[in-house]
Amino acid sequence: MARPDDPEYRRLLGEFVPLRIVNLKGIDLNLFRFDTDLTFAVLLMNADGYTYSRFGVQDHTHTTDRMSLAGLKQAMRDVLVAHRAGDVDREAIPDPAQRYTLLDLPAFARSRQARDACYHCHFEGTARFRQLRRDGQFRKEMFFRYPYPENLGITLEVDRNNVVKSVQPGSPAARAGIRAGDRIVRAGRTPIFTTADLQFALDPVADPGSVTLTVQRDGRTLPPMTLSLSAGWRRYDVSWRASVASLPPILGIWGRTLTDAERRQRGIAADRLAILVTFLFPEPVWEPARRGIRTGDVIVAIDGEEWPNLNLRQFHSTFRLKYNVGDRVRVTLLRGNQRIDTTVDCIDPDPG
Amino acid sequence: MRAWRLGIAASGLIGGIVWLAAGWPAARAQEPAVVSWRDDVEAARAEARRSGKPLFVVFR
Repeated sequence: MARPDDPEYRRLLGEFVPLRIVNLKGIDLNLFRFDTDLTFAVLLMNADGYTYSRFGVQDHTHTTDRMSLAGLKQAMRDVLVAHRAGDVDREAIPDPAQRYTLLDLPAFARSRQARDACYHCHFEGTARFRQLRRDGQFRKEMFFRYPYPENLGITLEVDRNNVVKSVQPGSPAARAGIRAGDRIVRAGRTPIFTTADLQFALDPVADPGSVTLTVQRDGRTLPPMTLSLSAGWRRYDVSWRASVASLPPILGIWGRTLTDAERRQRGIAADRLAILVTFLFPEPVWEPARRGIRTGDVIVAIDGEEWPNLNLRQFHSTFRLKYNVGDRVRVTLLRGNQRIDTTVDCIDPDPG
Repeated sequence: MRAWRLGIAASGLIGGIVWLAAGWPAARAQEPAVVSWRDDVEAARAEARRSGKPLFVVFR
């Protein structure tokens, strides 16, 4: 996405000290706070550890649909202005005494991943969830990290970062008076330059809750607007998140969605669930979670309910949100022309 | 004749100063920077402190 041959990008990068981190081993996670499920994340910060802005957004559709080089360059320009103006919130500088690395999380230190040579960024989310579960503090609402602007009812311009492209009628943003063309400059006390900044500011907001946005319209800064966010406002499709994929329960299978031709052949509507099982998790611990299922079966219903069409990651994600470890679930399969029901157990394969 | 030569020299000198003050740094700024990525966090922070530049930290 950030093409190194773009002259303006290279010129802007020359105004920064560029630091590339490809391994989280030994990295201070209190200093670098970002969405660790992203495959590309940028922090623009000063030497004291104050983060001016974050860049990098991902969703279940595509890694780069929400990012552009123009947007990154705009963020870099905005940060250079803030840096030169000394626009720093001293209270937002991480305390060096609070330094911690992945190995400081006991749940991670005892995991198999701790022995890996390279710690991937998403290990952080996996380890955090694992630790919360171990401490008995995990709740499924925690899946919905870094909510999107769409959760407020707005979309932002990809190339202009913090400029509102559209507002969904009747949404919290619409009710608060936000309009297309507004520039969001602050959420609470957090300066907003990018979509990722807004997501970071939204991350600690409760469900239900509220957030106060400051916007500029026609060059004027308007009085802060408070958005009331009703229960469930944080929810979105988390199926792309690697950290979430580590959590039980799921069925002990892998597979794919049937093609349109395969659906027609089997008489399954285009908008209904149809997961072709291509692989059974071989470890014995998974047996109860794939009981009665064979490769070649097509999963068409769960507990008698025909779910909408989902890809495999979305299927596992929906299952994980709906059920808990210890539940028993009826799975309806299409095997040849026969409909077969089987009952599987929701297990935790790694309760350690 | 001497005054004419002195005038040429003075205008050249002034032009050079103006070019150095404005044109040359701007021309330099247009050149693509040679990007040398750091991988040591504390060394990069020390360099940022020394140079007065912000950090561009990418996680991949």
